[in-house]
Amino acid sequence: MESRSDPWGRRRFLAKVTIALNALLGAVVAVPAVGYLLSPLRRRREARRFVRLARLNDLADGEPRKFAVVGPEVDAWTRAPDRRLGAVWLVRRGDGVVAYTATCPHLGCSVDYRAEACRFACPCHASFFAIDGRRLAGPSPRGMDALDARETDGWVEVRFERFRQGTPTKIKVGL
Amino acid sequence: MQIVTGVLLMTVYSPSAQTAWASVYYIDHRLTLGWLVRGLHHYGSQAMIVTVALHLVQVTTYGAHRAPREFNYWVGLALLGLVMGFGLTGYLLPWDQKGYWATRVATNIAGTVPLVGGAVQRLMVGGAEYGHLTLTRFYALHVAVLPASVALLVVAHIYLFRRHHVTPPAHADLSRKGLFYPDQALRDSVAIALAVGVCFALAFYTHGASLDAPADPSSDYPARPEWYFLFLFQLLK
Repeated sequence: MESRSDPWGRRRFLAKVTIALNALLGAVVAVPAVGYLLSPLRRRREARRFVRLARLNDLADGEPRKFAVVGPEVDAWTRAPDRRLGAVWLVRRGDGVVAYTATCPHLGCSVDYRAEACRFACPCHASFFAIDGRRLAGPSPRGMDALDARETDGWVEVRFERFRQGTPTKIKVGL
Repeated sequence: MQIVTGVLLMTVYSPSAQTAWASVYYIDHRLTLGWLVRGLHHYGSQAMIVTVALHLVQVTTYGAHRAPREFNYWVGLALLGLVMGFGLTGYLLPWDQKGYWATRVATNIAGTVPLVGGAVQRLMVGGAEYGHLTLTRFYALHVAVLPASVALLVVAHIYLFRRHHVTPPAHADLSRKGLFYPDQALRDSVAIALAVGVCFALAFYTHGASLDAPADPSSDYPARPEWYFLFLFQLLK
């Protein structure tokens, strides 16, 4: 047992109290800081509604056409009624239509269509996709991401969604 | 605490007249414990003013403002001015009624300086009208110019303090020598814990710092500064 005259016992005790007090002070700031910084992980995005893109009769059978998707967007503290959200490829198949997001499933570049080769191509990292969205070649881990599409009163409507890049399976982002 | 909470606020705050208020609202109401982070920053700034003022009282009571420490005393006074500058610039940043109108008054005071007042005011405001450029200027001062100036002066303050040592209280027994660690470090830690504890309690009790309605130049708002500028406010009457 340390005597009162032993300065090292007293110093050790005071040092431990100092460290404990400073750890507590650090926690006062660190706990809210962690919650604050991790907030984006808790946030959920609203489910997208269908957006009207084109008249079905304006689409030629089997000939992909690209359309900009314009719709309402809430971006943290701003809200815009008609912001450009992305782009979609529409491919008419008889009386129906298939929609693919123009975002490459590899790393998110915008996918082009090469009419001479009848295939989609990503200009960034040379991924190629068939007209039905299948992956043909390149680093993309999956085919093009199909979107929900429907025809209403002669108009093609699409539910524009975002999906994670770089994964072999299609996973929605933010839902 | 001010640096950590300030950097956290910087990750979200958007310094423009159209987005500043909404981004602060977002911090208070949408981010996990955002109200606490902003509250700690707000009350921490008040604690800085109180602490610096108490330090000034201690310095003059102990006679530490006299030679050979007079230059360090001036450095300390400059630091007090910079700390108040943090309060002045930070007050505007939420772009709410309180900050907007108080800043209008403050910049108009600067505008009354003979000869150069008009130019000084335009430089502070970023033009003739209060808007984006006023906010970006105050923001740059608040997060870059003032912190860098404080850091430089604190280095000078500590250097001069170590050169001239502590001013002992009258009738102190100079034969006794104390240790900084852990004796003085514990005293400092207790004092800091008290200050942080008060800030935390106030932030918790008031649920963070207040945020008035968005700035409205057409409204009728009685401009009031923070309590540490009330002496200037009274002089204006």
